[in-house]
Amino acid sequence: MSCHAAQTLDRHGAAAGPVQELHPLAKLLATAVFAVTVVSFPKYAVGALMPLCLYPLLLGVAGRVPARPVWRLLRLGLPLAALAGIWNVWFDPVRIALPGGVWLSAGWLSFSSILLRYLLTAGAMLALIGTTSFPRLVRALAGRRPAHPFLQVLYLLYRHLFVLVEEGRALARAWQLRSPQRRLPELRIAGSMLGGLFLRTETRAGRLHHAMVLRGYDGSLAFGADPRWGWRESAFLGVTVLGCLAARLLPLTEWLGRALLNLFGP
Amino acid sequence: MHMADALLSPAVGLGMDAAALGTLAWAARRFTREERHQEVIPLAGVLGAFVFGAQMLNFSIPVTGSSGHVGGGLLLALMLGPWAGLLTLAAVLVIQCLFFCDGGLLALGCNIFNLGFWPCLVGLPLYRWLASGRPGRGRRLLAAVAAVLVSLELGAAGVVVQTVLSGRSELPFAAFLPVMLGIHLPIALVEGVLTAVILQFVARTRPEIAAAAADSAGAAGGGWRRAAAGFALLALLFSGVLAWFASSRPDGLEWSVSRVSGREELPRAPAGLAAGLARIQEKTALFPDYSLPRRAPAAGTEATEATERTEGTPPAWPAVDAGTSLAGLVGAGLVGLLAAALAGLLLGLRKRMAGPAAGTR
Amino acid sequence: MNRPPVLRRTGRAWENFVMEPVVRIRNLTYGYHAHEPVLRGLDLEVQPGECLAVVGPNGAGKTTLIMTLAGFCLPFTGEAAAHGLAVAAPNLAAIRARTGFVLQNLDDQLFMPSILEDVMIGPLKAGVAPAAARERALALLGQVGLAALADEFPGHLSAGQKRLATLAAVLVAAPDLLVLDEPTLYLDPWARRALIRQVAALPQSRLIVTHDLEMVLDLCSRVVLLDGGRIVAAGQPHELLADAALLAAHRLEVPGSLQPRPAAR
Repeated sequence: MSCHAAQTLDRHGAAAGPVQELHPLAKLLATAVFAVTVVSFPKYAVGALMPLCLYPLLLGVAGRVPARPVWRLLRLGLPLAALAGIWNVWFDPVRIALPGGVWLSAGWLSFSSILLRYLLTAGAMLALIGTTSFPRLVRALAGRRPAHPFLQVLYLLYRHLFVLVEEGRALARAWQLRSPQRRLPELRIAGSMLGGLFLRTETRAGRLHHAMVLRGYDGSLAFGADPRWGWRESAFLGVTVLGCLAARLLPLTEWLGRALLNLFGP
Repeated sequence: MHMADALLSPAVGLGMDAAALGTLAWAARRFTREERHQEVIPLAGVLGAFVFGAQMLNFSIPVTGSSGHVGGGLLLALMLGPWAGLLTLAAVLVIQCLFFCDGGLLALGCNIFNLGFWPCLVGLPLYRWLASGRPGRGRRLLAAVAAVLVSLELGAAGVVVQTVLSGRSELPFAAFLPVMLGIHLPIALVEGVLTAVILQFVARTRPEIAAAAADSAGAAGGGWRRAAAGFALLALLFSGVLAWFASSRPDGLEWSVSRVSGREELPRAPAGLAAGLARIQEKTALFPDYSLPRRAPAAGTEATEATERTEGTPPAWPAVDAGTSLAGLVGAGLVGLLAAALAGLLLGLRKRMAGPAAGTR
Repeated sequence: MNRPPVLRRTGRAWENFVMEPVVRIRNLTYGYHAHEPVLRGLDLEVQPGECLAVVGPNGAGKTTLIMTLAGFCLPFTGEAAAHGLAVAAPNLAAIRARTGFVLQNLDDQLFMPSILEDVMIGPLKAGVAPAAARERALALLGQVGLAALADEFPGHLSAGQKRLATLAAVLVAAPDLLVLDEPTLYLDPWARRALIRQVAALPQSRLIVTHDLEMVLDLCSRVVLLDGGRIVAAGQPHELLADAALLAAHRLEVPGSLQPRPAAR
């Protein structure tokens, strides 16, 4: 299940390791720079985007991120990306002439570009979680004072995410066990079930608030020693930025190809 | 529907990010001014998690026989108020983006606007207005459906505008907009009915909660009503202008630089700052730029040197100049091999090493 | 930080000391809705240092009792005092500072991204410097056997670990009274035993609401039976819990270790 995959990935992010120990903000910034770079390529860029594959892949290998959960989660968004991009094939009036007199719609290029963009940006984010874990990320964003209400809500959401997903699944399973002939509940019944879940959630929130009051919790999200920003973080970020700039501004793919052709060809 | 990074351009993405950041900061400020906001924070977090839990339960949609699951935007806005509702929906979107590849990091701004702003600042007051007092089942149903409909359609229109402005997709505005609006019509109907059923259940079992939700006196201050109305009007104007623009140009919305600047092609090396900016624009495609750089390998795939145009295309459509093709192709192939090798390494590593989290509990 | 119990001198001789109970409840009546009281004229005392168990059927009011002590069920009629302070709005902060509550649910009580920081909440709130707070938190986690998991995200822990982490987070503030609501719920036998061992070694007064009658036998010096919002019986665990008729009248059963063994064949 995708939730299990998400949890596995998160656990790997929380483990020990050289990449895991980098400051979370360094990795977040690197991911943001990477995303902007990918998105800034022109519409028909396919080959030029390919050197950027190195970032999520290298990060994943260095951080020993497990591949199966990553693929499981990537698969979730792939159909939507394909659906969004496939229209380019029909709607792009420009055509490319191939050797042999065959015509190819340039829409195939932009469609491939869209798919590649999806894989790159989604892959980078999964690599971020797999090397950082969400709680560490939130902790790095929060200060020592009571954290910003948005971060508090975000963290609490995450904290109870899998608990509530389990409850939702239990609801669905309970229905299946009681009505094996009808595969799915109808709207009215689902509404009652969800209404019950909703009220239980509201009660849970009350208990949570009670527990917070009893311990005098003030909404802080970080007490301990902050991860330090050292030369490793600067180096990591610097290399990523340079790499992104190089990929964007320099014809790397072409150079590589030319070098190879010169090596082997006449 | 979520906006994806794959369809986004930096200008639209970063612009919407800035707008969303500003909106969230404003919402957070209004929220912390509320009296019992500390108590609402746990409720907000847990209700955000509820959205994910609720999505585990699929139900069958009448008539069509297909299945669906709840979105939850209006429900959250109702229970938490506009400010906490917006913060919570933004948090939901962040989780969906980071873990479940739904939307993208840059597209967060767009999604917060499309899927958070409208339910909280337009859908919610609409619901409260239609369901004021002590509504019966019918009126609650009508109010929920109307509120969800307006919110979802505005969000869908947002996706269309952002996609077209970004220029990565070829979908013409005039075709895209009606389709998106059309798709979201049944989705909104189902979601609205489901929201109404849930609210009905809550009203029956815990009437005080339902009453608090529909209480328009709880709406935080009057100023936000004007702001929400202003935004809604702006959105309508915007989409109206664009629709007119699109309809008068049957070949789609064209924003290439040549049209805007009145010239056929990019100016050749103008002097000074303009030259620098033009070069940056050329290289980074900050504005949707349908022309490829002449020298650089923007697309390293097979294409001949000759640029081809199809018959009937207006001359303003730029050529697909793929540059020096063979080298680009070889280079792309090599990078692909390297990437595959790395991926294989990843898989191999996974098999050989025990995961760090494995162990005794 | 443990304060000595309040002593009152009665009579002339020094030997007539009467120790003030840590919890003193007289004729407590409370209901979530006005006409439906959940607690009806409840009388209860917790003596300093004792481990008191509250048992009873579902719906008896056990959790409401705890919530009243915690100050969430106001207003009530009757008297309720903890640590010599009446349970009323002005005293709530002081009462909560001296009482550690470990509530039923496992996931609702750990708020920070790591359990170490959760345990640090207490000392930091008391004004201890961050480094010293960290030391103290680590020591507590070591005491409950979770030192190796100090930086773990609570969501990644097992049920038993979460329970022990919550216990540590509550103990770090050195409360005089520990209130536990169904502490062995959801725990497997090994985790349950670990928890019982921890609680048994504590010097504080302990008030434990539970269905786990075997634990009551292992742990508690006194037990009261709560049903219908009032105390219907009180006594030593080995006596009260062996009274089959009494227990059956209140939807309880004699724990296995007290039941007569079938004669060997």
